Amino acid sequence: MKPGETNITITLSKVFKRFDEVTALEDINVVFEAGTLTTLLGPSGCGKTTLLRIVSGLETVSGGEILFGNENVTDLSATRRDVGMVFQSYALFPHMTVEQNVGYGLGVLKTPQEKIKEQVKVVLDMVNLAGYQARYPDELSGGQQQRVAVARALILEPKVLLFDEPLSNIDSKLRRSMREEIRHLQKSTGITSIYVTHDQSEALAVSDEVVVMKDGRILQKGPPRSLYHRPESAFVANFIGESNVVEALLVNGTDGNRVELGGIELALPDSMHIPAKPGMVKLSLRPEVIHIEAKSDDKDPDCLAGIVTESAYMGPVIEYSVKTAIGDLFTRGPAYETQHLKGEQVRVRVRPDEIIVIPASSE
Amino acid sequence: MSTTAKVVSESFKPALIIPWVTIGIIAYFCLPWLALEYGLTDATFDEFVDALAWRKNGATIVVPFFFLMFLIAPRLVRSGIQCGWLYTCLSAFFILATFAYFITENLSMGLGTAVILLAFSALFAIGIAEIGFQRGDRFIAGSVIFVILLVCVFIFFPIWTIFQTLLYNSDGSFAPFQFYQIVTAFGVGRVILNTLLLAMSVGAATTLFGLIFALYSTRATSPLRYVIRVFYILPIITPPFVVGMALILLFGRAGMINDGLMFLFGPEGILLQGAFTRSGYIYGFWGIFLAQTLSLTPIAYMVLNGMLATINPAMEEAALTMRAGRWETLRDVTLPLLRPGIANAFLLCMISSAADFGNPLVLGGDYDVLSTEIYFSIAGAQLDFAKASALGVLLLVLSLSVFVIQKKWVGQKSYVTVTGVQTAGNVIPLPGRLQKILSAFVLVWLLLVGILYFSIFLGGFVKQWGADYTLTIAHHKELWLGGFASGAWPSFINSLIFAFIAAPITALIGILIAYIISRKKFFGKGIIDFGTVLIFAIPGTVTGVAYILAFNTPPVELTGTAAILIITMAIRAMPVGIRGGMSALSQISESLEEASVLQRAGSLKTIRSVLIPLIRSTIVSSTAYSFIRSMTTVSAVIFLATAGTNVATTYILSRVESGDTGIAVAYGSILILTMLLFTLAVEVITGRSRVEKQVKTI
Amino acid sequence: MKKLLFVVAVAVFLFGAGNALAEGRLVMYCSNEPFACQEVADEFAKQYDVKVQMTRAGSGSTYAKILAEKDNPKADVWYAGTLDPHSQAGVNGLLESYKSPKLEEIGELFRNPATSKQNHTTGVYAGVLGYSVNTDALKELNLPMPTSWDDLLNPIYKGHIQVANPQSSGTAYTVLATFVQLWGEDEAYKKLAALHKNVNQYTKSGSAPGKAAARGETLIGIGFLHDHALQKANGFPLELVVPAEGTGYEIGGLSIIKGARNMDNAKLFVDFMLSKEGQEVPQRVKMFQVPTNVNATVPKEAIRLEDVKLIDYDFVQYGSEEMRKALIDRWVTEIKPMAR
Repeated sequence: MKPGETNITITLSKVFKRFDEVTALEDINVVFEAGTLTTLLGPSGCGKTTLLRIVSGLETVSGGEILFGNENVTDLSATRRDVGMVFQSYALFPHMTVEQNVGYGLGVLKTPQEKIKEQVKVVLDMVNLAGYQARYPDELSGGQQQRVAVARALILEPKVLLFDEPLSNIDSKLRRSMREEIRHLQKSTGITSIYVTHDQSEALAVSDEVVVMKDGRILQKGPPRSLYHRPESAFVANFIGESNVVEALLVNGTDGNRVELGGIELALPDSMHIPAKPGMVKLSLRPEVIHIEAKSDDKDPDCLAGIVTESAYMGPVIEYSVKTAIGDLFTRGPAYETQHLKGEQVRVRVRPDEIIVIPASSE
Repeated sequence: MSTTAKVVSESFKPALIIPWVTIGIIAYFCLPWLALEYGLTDATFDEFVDALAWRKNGATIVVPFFFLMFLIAPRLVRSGIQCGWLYTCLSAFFILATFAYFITENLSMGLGTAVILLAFSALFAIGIAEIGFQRGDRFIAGSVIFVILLVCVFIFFPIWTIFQTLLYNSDGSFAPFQFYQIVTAFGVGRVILNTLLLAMSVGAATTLFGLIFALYSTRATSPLRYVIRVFYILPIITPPFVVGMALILLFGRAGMINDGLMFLFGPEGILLQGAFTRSGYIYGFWGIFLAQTLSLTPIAYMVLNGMLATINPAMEEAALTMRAGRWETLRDVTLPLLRPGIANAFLLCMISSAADFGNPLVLGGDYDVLSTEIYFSIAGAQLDFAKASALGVLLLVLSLSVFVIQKKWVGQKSYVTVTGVQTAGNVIPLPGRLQKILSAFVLVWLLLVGILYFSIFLGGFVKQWGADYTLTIAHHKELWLGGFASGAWPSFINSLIFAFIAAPITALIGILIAYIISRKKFFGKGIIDFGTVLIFAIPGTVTGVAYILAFNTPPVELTGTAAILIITMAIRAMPVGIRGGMSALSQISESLEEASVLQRAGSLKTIRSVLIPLIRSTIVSSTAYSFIRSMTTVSAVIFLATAGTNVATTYILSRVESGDTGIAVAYGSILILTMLLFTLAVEVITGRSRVEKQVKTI
Repeated sequence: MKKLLFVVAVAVFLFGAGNALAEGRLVMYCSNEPFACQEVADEFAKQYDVKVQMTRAGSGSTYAKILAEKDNPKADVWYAGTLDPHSQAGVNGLLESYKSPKLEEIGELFRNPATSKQNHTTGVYAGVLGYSVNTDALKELNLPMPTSWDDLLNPIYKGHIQVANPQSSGTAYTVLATFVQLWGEDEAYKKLAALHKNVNQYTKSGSAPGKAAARGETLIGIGFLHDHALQKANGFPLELVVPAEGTGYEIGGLSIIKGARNMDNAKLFVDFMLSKEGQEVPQRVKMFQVPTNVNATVPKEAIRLEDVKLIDYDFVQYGSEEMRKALIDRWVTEIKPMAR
């Protein structure tokens, strides 16, 4: 299992899926690059699991094509597609030991017993479960069951590795280390992987690319950074990280672009990409772009007036909710600063160079 | 199914057809193409040879020609899909042509034809799998075709003949209003009402009692619950009319209780002379009600017990932590979770009651129900097939609608508890007061059952119940000690052999059907769905009538053969198999199978390695239960058993008919004993497997 | 699947393996009690070394079967069952005329009783209608012993009489027909109405009342007395009563199917069943119908025809479908719904 040896590109074109009357997926066109780990991210019911199952072959398409590399696998059954999958529930066979579970696929391929034992040992080592061969699934912790599931998905060296919310049944401390392990395993094997989750921080942490889905459609695809900094819709801006979406007037003046909001004007840097025409636009203001200061008498034309409606001490930071002319804004301040209390009148400063203008065509 | 030309299943091998072609050719050479006039078992060698396919003009060339076509087909085409089309068309054409030939020539098919047709069906399945049906999964394609075939031949076709009987007069003229005339005839309305009233009451009573027993055996702390395990099985292993007979022995006008009361309070009694006169209060509604409640409660118990065992104790614990008492937990959590089970139990018992034939036969008195009316339309002096068919349709519609209503209600609720995520927890015991009340109830029940069975066993050892209570072994001697060719042996051996063949078939096909229904989606699934609904809903008497009408004439002539009895037993017990399969499969998360499929395992391997081990206890119990059911079934086989294929139950019933109560009861008691030993043996042999233990504790 | 199929195929094949060759065959449809059928079949097979294949079914269903197989008869001979379906088969041309050489040993009444009058059917036994009384119950209830049909109408027997339902039972139809032939239709239905008041239950099967009386489930059971004689022989305290006014009877038919494939054996069988020894076979299994062969030993449990008063039962008129339907319909609409 050397990186790059088995990796392939997965291409979905014009894929759609209907269950009876309900459309689960609509016109999906997406390429999963070879050797990358791509996350399908979205709220529940957005179709991400259906899409994953369509790639696996467990679900059929109502139309469209799926290519593994150059091979059209649309009509191939899951058995013949050469994919490995880690299920949300792990789906470990309760009547088999760890060794039997992991070696099951090799048995199907009529591998000799000694060879199975050997290979199982190798993969179990990879997932740090050496010596657990004789245990039954019910004798393992959740994290260990998860590793067994990963080992089982890996052992046949599949072309594609699929993860269906693999960490949702694990407690949060363990989740972090498990996702590192998964990331590490994926990198070291180089198998093209698709990972379904509804947890945006998990998505940002593990993926090369993130695909954000909503209502059976793909809203945006890109590396975590570009999704965070260049959301193409309010939904993506809200779903990836935290965001305050506000309305503003975009003015294209002689001195460059400006936005007017809540009675103040902010000049946008010339280098900023503006995917919208002048007029009313939506802006995404990340919490880290918004700073609040204690109210002072001298009027600052760049600041909005606001009242703190919520103030919570979170350890390293303090979270605020501030009511302003442009709506409630969510932001954070460092804990070493004096905490602004609820009801306190404050000034809100927005850093113009980090404002995100959301494309006009989006919802 | 998409049939993109690019996709050619790479695993296609022409060698796959070799086994089926071989089977077909063996059948062609060694098995009769035409049905033997005197039956397979009785035919002479010459008659046998004369009926072989290669000796028949029609078949001599045609059959080998088709097989040859199959062998050379892969060489004629360029892709697997083309080959699939060729196979599909060839086999479909052969099957249709064969049926057309037998129907137009008015000939009956022989065993060889059946095997050859089966081989062609398999080839058909291989063909459509190659085209893309079930994405090339030959096992599932084959199973689907097999099940559709089964349903068409043994469910749809016989039921169709019932309707045919209704649409035409006995002289063959079209009579569209015959059904209307029959059902509006005087007295039929009352019969329908009687059937409904009885079925509802029995359904309600058995569900309630079944619930009590199920709660008791899983939630009580009293040692009495272990006794239930032995006692609940008794009415199941007893032919239904034997319970009825025992009730007469007990409660009848000349029964033990009347005798006892007469002895105490009769005109010459030792206490309060003349305070009591005999009455025959057991006949009629209450008699049937009592007998059916006794016989069917264990079914409700099994349904509910299975359901109860799978409820995750965490839910009950959750309720307890929310300050709910054990009462509230039971009322607000456990019982609502059991709702699908309760509905199932009610449905099953209601249909069973409407379909039950043995108890109304023995205990009915003037209380006419549909099943007995059907029987007497044919077996009595009337011989009115049209009436039997009309009443059969009524009974079928009745149970069908009950079934569909229930299915709709139950179908919306699914509580999957085995997901592969391991859970733990402890079963919550019953509230103390409730347990006391239930204990008393269970005790009374067990006592009644105990006395009932004691009277059956005793009845076999007294000269004449009700007249001469001298102890004797004459009955058993006549039954068992006259050599294997006389007494009870021929019918007993028949029963054993038929049930032994039918039971595993039932269990396997039942699970297969359950698997297809619950796990697969495909075009034409509606046929299987509807067929299954009919299998569940069709009462035994209707099956009996339908089979007599359908399989008494060419092209499929089976009456008088052992095959028809085996088939009947298998079909009659099929609901057990399907239900077992369904409930077992509903407890197993589909992701387990998907995980196996993604490990390159085909569906056959997945079923074998993942499903079967997980539902092994279900398979064993449904095989065992099918066996028992086949051994004790009466309603359908009574129409079909002949002198040569007499089975235990029909033999006993005929001895009842001729008044040999002693013999009948003696035979019945041995039958019950055998079934009991069988059940215990199965329990011991299977033991408690690891998985079962696991499933039991979650 | 494959394996399973193979096992089944092999099993079925092995089933058929042991073929014995017999001296010819006889396919017999039998409408007697199963044990009588088996006994007769076995005896004939033994005596003539013929392989007998017997199918037992009620006379009605057997008639239907023979009708269905008209073009391709499967059976050779039809033994026992009440006369009416035999008559019907004869009229419809399903039977072979045959005058057995044994016919002269047969009672006059039974030589050619069927409607067609073409020797299609011979009477092979007779059964006398009557009722039986459970003597233990009689003593317990302290009631007088009834001796006639009219006695049964006495209200003192209220709730103590059981008879079958003519809708389902040929026996009960014979009761109807006997009443009508004794007293004329209107008078008969008045008496049936009076009887109705005393009946505790109309059973489905004609033999059930006799069994119920035997076990003491009812005091009096109406039916064919040979059924009741069997119960008595089994040790139940029964007294068999042939009503004083005279009573009806049934004739058991014996016919050869037209186009029988084993015609010689069929004739041989008819000869055997009409002979003295043939007629005595059913007695061995406690079938106590009256033999029609005058030389045959009448079992001591059976009713002797010469001892009882039989009515001149008109099998042609009362065996017809129209008459049957008319009488039963009148009973169903007039008598059955009445309050008891």
